[in-house]
Amino acid sequence: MQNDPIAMVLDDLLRLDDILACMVARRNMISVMPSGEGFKPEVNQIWDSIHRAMDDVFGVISAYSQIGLGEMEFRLQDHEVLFYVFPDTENALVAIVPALANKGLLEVEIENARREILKIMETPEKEKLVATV
Amino acid sequence: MIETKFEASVGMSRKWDAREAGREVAETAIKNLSEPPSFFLLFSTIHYEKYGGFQEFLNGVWDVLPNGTPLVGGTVVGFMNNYGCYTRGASALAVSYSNMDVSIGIGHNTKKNPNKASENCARSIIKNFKDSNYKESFVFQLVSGPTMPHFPGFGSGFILKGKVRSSLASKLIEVSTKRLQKGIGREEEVLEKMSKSMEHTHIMSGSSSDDMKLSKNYQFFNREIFNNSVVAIGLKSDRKMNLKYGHGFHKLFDQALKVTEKAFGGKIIKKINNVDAVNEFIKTIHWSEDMLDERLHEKTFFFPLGFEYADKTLSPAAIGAILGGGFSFSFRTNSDNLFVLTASGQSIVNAIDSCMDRDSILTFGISCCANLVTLGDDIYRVQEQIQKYLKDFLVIFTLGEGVYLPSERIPKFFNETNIVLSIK
Repeated sequence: MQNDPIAMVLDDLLRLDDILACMVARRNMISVMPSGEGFKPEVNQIWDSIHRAMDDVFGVISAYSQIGLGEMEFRLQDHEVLFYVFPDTENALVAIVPALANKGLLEVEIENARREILKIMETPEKEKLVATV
Repeated sequence: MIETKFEASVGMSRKWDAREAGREVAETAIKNLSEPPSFFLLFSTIHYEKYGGFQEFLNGVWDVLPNGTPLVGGTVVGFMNNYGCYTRGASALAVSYSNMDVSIGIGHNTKKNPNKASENCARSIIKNFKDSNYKESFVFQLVSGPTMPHFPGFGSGFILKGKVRSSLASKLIEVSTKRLQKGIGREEEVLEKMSKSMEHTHIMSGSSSDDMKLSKNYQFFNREIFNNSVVAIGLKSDRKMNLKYGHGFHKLFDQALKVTEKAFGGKIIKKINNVDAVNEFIKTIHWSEDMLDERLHEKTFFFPLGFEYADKTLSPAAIGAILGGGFSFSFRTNSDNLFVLTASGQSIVNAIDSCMDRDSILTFGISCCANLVTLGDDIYRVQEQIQKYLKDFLVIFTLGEGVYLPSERIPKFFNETNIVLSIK
């Protein structure tokens, strides 16, 4: 979507070398993708497996987000997938990084992206948009 | 002279373009000052190298900053301020106060000749202070941190296994550091010399870095960019200046590991208790050898070794690289008795907070980037706690931390430590 502010936040995050993919998603649905050319080619081969695993993880997020589940992560082969849950929702900011990346530094920027997206989502138009996508 | 009140303001930019970021960080820093700044501290992450370059970044700053403002700074791993926590972007501290003398200095070739670099830097600062009547004095220095040398056939990873290759690598690291200025930073040597030159001055020393890839780092001095340098700012004022330091580590066991063979002035530990240092370390903490992979620092940051200074201050020393049977630190240990240390996330959070002074009108500090790696986004626990009682503050995340207090008279270098200046 053109000029989608959430997509612009994702674009910024994707500019970091070790962020291979990022999106706002929920179970069985990717709500917002970065606005550019999509994910980095390193994830193409493993994307199907990651995508299926993500849906299983979203099952857990759905069950526990209302009681404070904030983050989840898993490692699949040479990649880690990090879920930063939006409080009291079944949506999460999802980022895929290499398994040997400096995760601590990346987590700070992923958290910054989540905070920015939360601010955007607090505007009434955006809440409607995310609910209906 | 008309007396001005003490004003300090923190600026920031998250723009990607170097020039625009330079302008924004300067604008946001000085907009809240009612007088031109007396000095400007400037820090950025390494990303601007790919988005216009650091000269453009500095040019952007000087599009805004008044001519003649003393400026020092450099690249750091990240920063934490009243806006949040960041591992990409730029932040600055601008201060304006009439009852303060400011002097800046620079020294070059810190890896080749740290003593001479420190002397040259100190000389400029001391020269400009000779007519100062203020009693309180402080120096902040930013020293070029370690960079990983790349040797054909060895790669440039942190793990080198195999006795022959590692023995050669140990020698090559020393030669590379001293001749090519690619290797260990020798920042503790810069601090030691600085403390001898200015023995009545509080000194805080941080190590400049990139995003912990140890590929390169830069130092800023007025309108120019340097590497392998030390840049410093000296302040003399009628304001009370307090320097607090601390870390969250304690000894895991009381028994010391005895260093029995070392190289490069104690920066490379080859044998402990007369056996290969790596084997003795992992045996002591009940690890297996396969724990020492490329994710080394994620584990060893929680289990650094450490030694005691003469006053029993514990200094954590994180293992930098595995060199066959031995390992290297990023700085020289002052004792042959090493202890295994450990910390929890909570103790690390508490340690940063405890260095802060709630009555401060200026808070500027350094904290080890290992705190970012270990805490990740939980670094926000620290930022949100500090924000409850401080309006403006800036903490930069560095790759090595050093402190000298005239009351202690021991220059101390650490890893995984926090050092904070509070001005009241």
